[in-house]
Amino acid sequence: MMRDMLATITAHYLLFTFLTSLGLLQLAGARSKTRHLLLLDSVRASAALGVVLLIAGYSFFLEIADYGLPGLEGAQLFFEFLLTAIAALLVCAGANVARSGHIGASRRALRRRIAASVVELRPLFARRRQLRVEDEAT
Amino acid sequence: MSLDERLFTWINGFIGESAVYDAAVRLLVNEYIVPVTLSLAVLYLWFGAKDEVQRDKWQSAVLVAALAVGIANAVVKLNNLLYFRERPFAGVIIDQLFYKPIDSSFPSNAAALAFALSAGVWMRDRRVGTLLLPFAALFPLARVAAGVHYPSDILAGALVGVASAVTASYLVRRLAGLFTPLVAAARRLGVA
Repeated sequence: MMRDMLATITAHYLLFTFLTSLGLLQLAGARSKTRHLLLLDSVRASAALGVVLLIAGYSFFLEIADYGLPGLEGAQLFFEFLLTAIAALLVCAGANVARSGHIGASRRALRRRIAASVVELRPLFARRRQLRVEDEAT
Repeated sequence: MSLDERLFTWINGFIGESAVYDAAVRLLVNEYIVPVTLSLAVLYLWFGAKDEVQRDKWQSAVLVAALAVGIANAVVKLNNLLYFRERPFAGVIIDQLFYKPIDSSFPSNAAALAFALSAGVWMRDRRVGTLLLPFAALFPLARVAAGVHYPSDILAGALVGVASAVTASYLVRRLAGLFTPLVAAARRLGVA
């Protein structure tokens, strides 16, 4: 009984956070003009979709979920929110690839992005190396 | 009756007076609505900046807020290992609007986390932080109204939250050499 209740609230919570995260990413993407976050071509239409998703998420949760009962623990809530936010990001990226219709080009672009981000991380390792050299010298 | 208990009884006494008030408290007191809304605000700050200056400021605010929440959570968990205070419903006759949590009442975890997050944002962006702080305050206050915490639990939780935000702000500045490349890499990857 308790396990069923927990599974239900978890499912409701995941859907709630997924819809609202996706909606919020549309609003944020529309404001910052970050095209790869937008689900639609038009910035205005994406912002409107964002508002609809946010309202849908809150309405769904407030109408359906038993949110006054004992449920998930704080750390679990945070982890699941993070998971759904990442899922929403992936959906945005997937929608962009589908919209462009160029899977090969998207894959190459992703590879370029990963390579560029690895370059940005170099100072971290360089600093560590430098510290190690200093340690060995002393 | 102590001042804390008297204040608690007064705030809790409004329960049952108005259906609208009870519904508002039910909405604010649970672990889902306010925490998710605050987390969404943080997600918006991470992705929604208009220009480079604002992006630096907001992403730094998110780092401070996230670290502050982690510190506040650790402080409360550590405190709970050393000290236990009964919830109000164990000693005072109250109107309960929420289920009965079994962990320590002092300090309020809800207050600590909500204040850590909003004060963390405030440390970097006063305007956005000021918008979040009252909203964050409603969460623990609703817990007093619903009979889950004493006012002193909230006060202590808020202090833990603000102290965590100050500590996190200092650490993010001190560890800029670590955070700057990480944020730059996330930007290149398109996730910041």
